[in-house]
Amino acid sequence: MKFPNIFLIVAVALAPAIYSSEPYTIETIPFPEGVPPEVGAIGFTPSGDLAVALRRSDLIVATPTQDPTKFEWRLFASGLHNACGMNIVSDDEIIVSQMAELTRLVDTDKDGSADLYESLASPWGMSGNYHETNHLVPDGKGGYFVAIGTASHNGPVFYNVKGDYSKVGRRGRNFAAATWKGWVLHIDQEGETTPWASGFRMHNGILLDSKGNLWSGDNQGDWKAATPFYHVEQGNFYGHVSSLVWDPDWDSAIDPLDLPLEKINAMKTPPAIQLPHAEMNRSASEPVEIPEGDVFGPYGGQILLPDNNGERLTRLMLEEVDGIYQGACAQFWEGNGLRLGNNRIVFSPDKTTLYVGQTSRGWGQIAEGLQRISFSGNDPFDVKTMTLTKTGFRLEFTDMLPEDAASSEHFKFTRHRYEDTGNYGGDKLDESEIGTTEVRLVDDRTIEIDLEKLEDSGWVYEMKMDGFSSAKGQGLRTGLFYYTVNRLKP
Amino acid sequence: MKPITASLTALFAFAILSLEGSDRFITLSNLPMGTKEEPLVLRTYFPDPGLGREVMANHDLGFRARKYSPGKGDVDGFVDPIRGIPGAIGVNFGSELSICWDTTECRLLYAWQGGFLDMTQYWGKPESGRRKGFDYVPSLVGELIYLARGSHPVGIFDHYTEAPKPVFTGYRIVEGVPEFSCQIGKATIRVRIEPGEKPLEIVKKYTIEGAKEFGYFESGYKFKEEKTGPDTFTITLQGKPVSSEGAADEDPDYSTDNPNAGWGEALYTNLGCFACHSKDGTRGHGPSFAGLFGAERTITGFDRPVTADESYIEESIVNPMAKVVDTYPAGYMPPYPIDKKQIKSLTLFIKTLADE
Ligand code: HEC
Repeated sequence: MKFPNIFLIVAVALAPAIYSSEPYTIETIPFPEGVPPEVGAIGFTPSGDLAVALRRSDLIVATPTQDPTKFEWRLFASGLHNACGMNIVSDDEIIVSQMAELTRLVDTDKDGSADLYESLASPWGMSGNYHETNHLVPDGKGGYFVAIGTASHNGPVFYNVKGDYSKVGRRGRNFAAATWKGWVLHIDQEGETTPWASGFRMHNGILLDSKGNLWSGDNQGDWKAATPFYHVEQGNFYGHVSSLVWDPDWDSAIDPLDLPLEKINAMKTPPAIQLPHAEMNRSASEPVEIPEGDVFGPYGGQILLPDNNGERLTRLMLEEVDGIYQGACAQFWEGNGLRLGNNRIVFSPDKTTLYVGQTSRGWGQIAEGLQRISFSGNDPFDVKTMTLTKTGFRLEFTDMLPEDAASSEHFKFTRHRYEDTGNYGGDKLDESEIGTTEVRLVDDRTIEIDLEKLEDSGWVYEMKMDGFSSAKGQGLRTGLFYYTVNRLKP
Repeated sequence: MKPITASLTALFAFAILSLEGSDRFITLSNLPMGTKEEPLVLRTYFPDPGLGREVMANHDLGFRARKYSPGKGDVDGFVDPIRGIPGAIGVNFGSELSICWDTTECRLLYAWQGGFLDMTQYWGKPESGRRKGFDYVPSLVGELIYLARGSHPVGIFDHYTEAPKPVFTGYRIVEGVPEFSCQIGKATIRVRIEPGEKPLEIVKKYTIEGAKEFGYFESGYKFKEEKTGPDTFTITLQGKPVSSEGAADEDPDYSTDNPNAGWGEALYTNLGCFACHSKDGTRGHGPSFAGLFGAERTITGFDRPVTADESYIEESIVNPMAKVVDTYPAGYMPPYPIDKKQIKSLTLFIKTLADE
């Protein structure tokens, strides 16, 4: 078994650059010879070691080295079934969510490998379907939020089911035949489970941000027209109907697949951001907050959302408008040596480097392994934030703008909306061009754009921007943005 | 259910791979194995070689489902469940012993010798790395020497009503071997399972705490019980080749509504057909099912061969005496008064074993 040669690629600006600042570099990190690099989860230990849970069995650990080929991998734990969520408590203790349960791995004799595999909780079922992976995030109080993925019709169920089996939940494309599939569960420190939110299809990644908000992406498919990003709140339903059969209050005489669309739409909470599938993100995986300050470039506090089926990492700019979250997305990284299959990301302890773990076995094309993206200290010229105004959008840039940037020629808007149905995915509906009425420079880094038409309830506004550089002559890094307007500015 | 394949080429391939190193990591080899000194623990989907409902009492039952089209809703056709165990843990001690211990039933489900698992179905071919088939349950390599029957072997008699469900609480690696732990009511049961000294022996070292009264009983297998301390005892179980003896002792009642080969395969195990009919061509008490469907059969007392078509097979099941296969004794196979759907399912299953 040969590994591809290590390559080092210098990221180039996405739009033609007049002045290249090379803000980021990407490197590939090999695994030990013969080890299948299918990354289920990654994280850092308090002493700075990188821990990687591989989907077949092993949890391996290495101290990062400057030279990406010099990592010395050692085994911390093994025998895990598709561990796709991980929380590192200390150098000797790691919590994983594997197919059957939440497991606490402890190295009690401090010999470097776990000898205690404690089952913390196992409230969800297993139909036997290969697709039912889980992800976790600590709740900050000793408990966890766990995202329980659904099953795929590309695989069967078993006769022997762990937990309860629902005939009704078995119907459909992606289905919830076993207990709590399609839910986010809260499991507290004592192991008590509270069902938190439902309506998920394959929320392969959840995040509790530094402000205490819970977020999750989901996978485009049935009941998900595009790739949604949700602000997850207790009691809400997010649209994938099969999970409803596990709601204790659900009337078991009703098959959720038979509900009229208007009823489902009235029940569900829309995504904070809709990510167009082709242009932005085909398969949302683990969201992670970009460190504050300028340690990883100018995007501190925003969220990165990897694409499990695209060579890209999407940047999310969220804001609170009229009491709810919504916002914009743009590409943080596309191509430039990044593989497909981006599944898990984590920042190094010094926050200057982003580690990206990849896998796609059974989920798409083969793309697997580990890469890292480092910030050089040179900021790109980019839109730092895109926010809503009463009449359009405000763009704050990372550097000073030239006088002539504020021209309507540089900004093209369209808008469209989506309709979630039981069919796989959904087209952009009612797509139309939206004219600008005014483009003005507010200060030397800020532009405001007024639109002919600005409406709420889920319109997704596309902004294409080009034709100018920074005042210093640095080319624009990103030119394509989508803002989801759920609410207008009051 | 997947056949238990003692694939020599597979074992050979493992031997070569293990020489190459990467001894402790799981590698691209689809035949991972441990040794007696360093057993390999692996959680994955496991095959179900014919466990009865009494053993799988704490599992729910998956049902056949109508095929579903997102555009049209329910469409013609069905999707059947497959046989498999969702939450078990496997331990391999080299070719001497492999065990499958389940975290829902909290007990040893089965043990086998020869190899461990062939993961190709689940992990895919090393070159392509993709899940292989619709039925992706790994297959056993080797020969079954123990298959659990009846209720849990450890009885906790502290409960006046039905004993509570067991709850798996994890395992600890003690001298390389996992010691599984579960809770039944107030009692904690811990068990380490290892190969014994004699061939086919399985040793189970138990610690039971918090129970006033308990006992051990294993139906269908000889075992020796040895008290080793106030809370500890050791069971030495005498395994035996399972195929000669019969697998599940009851019909798992899969309640599928239409005949299908998967159901037939389950019946093949559960009704005990396998005791006389092999699936791989070897002659047993009765003729093998391999290549049977569509073949020309020589029948005692008939001057012309008969084609083994659907009606021939159905007749052979319901009335074995009607046509007795040449060189086999008449009246040896018992008639099976089973319902039409079951007969049809068995026939469909036998059909899957036809020569191409
Ligand atoms: C105790 C041994 C025994 C069991 C158990 C048994 N059979 Fe048989 N079976 C035989 C023998 C011996 C023959 C050949 C003599 C005959 O045709 O009666 C036979 C013949 C057959 C044949 C015709 C095979 C041929 O080569 O033409 C079929 C079909 C068959 N059995 C099906 C079944 C099925 C299905 C079951 C389980 C439901 C079953 N048998 C259980 C012993 C057994």
